[in-house]
Amino acid sequence: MAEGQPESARRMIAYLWAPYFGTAVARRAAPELGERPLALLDDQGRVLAADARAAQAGVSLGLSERQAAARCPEARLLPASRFPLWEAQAQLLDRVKGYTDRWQPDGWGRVYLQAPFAVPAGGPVGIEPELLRWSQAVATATRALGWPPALGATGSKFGAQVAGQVAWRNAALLLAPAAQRAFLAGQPVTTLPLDADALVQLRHLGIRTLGQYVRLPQAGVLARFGPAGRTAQRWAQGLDDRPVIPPWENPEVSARIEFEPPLADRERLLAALAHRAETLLEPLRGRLQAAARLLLTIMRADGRTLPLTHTFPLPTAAAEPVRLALAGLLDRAPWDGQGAAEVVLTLAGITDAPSPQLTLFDLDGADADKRARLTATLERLTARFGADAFRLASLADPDNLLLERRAAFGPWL
Amino acid sequence: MPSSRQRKLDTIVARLQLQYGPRAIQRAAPTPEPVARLSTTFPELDAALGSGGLPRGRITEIIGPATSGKVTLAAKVLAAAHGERNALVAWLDLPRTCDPDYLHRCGLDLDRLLVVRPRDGADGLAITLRLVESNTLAALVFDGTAELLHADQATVGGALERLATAVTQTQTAVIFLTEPHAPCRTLAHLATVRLAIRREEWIRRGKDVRGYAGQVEILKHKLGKAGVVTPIRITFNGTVRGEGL
Repeated sequence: MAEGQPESARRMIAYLWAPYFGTAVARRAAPELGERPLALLDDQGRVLAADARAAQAGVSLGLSERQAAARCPEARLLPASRFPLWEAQAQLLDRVKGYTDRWQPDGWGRVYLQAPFAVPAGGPVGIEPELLRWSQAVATATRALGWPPALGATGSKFGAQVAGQVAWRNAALLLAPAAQRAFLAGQPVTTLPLDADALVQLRHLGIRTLGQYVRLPQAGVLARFGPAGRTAQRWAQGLDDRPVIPPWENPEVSARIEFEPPLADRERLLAALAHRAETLLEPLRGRLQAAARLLLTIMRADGRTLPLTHTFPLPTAAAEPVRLALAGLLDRAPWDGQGAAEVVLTLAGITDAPSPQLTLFDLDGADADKRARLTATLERLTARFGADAFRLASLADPDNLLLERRAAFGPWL
Repeated sequence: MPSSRQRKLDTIVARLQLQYGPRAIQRAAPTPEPVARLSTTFPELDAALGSGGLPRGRITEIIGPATSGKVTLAAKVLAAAHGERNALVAWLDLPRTCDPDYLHRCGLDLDRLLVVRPRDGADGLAITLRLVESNTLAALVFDGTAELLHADQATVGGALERLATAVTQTQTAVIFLTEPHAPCRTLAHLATVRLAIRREEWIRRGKDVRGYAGQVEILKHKLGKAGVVTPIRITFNGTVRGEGL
């Protein structure tokens, strides 16, 4: 729990899903598909989405085209690339992102959302008005896109997912964290993320609900179903503390410079690139951000493209390290007597600029003396423990494919 | 022999305390200096630890199984120490698994990193004690606490107690990396902060693993609040990105 939050407060997680989103997008784009069962296939010919009738016939995600056809002969099996599935997914995610600071896609038309506020964890079983208002706003926004959403919200990802699936189309099921366990107890074991073998075994054992599954001895569950079974047992009690993890985004800024005629003078090229880099760095400094990598894409006069990358030891927005990196990349590039006709300069991996630790106390009288004193200490230790015990590491070949050959150890003294 | 003025003052103070109570007049004592901190580079973890990170001049123990992120967390703390001008740090590599390329990607300046490879745990503790006493390092990571179990425990216990005393006279943050199956009870007792780290799930982008999300639990904290659990997120993109660095 972050500092400042009361211990009894916890974040609520919502699970929003548009049932049969993939096939609904396809039918909206191509009304002539009619009412026949429909399944969409990915590039490898595996089922990526299926509608209700196909799913009822046994067409599930990941089946091959032949398997899907065998289970539902009357189904249409079409490539997903024919329909604007990805655009619709991006549109849905863009819409719901405005209601939360943490969101995580979970498939087509499905997304976890972390409520941007905390609710009391214990206490009476009731829904906070703030949660109700927020859920209604999210559902309304989704409905405005034409997707009747189902929404479940409670204190854990698994609980929210089950609540959302129970809510079904155009409805919401909100649960206070204290009510989660009682709600999950009545749900079928098929909601658990166990493999088909485990579910068959549970059926043979007479275990039908999550409540029955929770009451099984922990050691027995672990022995029969392994760690996955034990994790599922915790989830069935509402003890799913997985965080909502937003997709990783890699912001970057770029600039393109064209040289007419192609520029072969290295110094002038470096000066031009450094000047252009400064126009990208200044806004970063203003936002207290820094770049982790520098990418150069040089198009030579003969048409050949040279991609070059430099990774900074620490993210930086300072001009000098970038200029040094540019100089190093230009030295490394195979020019073969050609000039540069076009250069694309990219600062990638933009993140918050690291701040140097402020020293509260005067650690030493003179910093320059520190290394000398350490060396003197090591000289005494070397006499007792041997010189091999004290090493200085260096990156001899940082681009080597073998990790063991990238670094080398040398003597410190 | 106290002077007559001192005797008179003592008499007056005694009378006043008799009349108004012992707390009416008290001698002032110097207030203890706040302990300096070293950022872990994970802002939520720094906030949970209170006052901005791991304490300097103290021992911290990070407990976690392999691939839990304890090496990355320790490397990030050293990288934060490197943020200070000319700061030197050390990595005591008992298991011989130190990967300078990975440490460099975590943000360490290899020119200011001393890698120590002692013969065994007892030598490692002795070297750690001497390095800490030199007061030249901003931080030191002792990787391989499990090796201490192979040494004579009385020697290990004595060395750790001397280290716990010596480190308080310096500004060096000493961090021990421990596997959960090989705990050291003396270390657990002497550590000021004990953190348990575990990896929760991989962060994927399509089929690529881009990092992982984990949790750090503060098991013990002599200078703050224990029992707090904090999520952390580590991503890989050529460098190893923590949440704040």
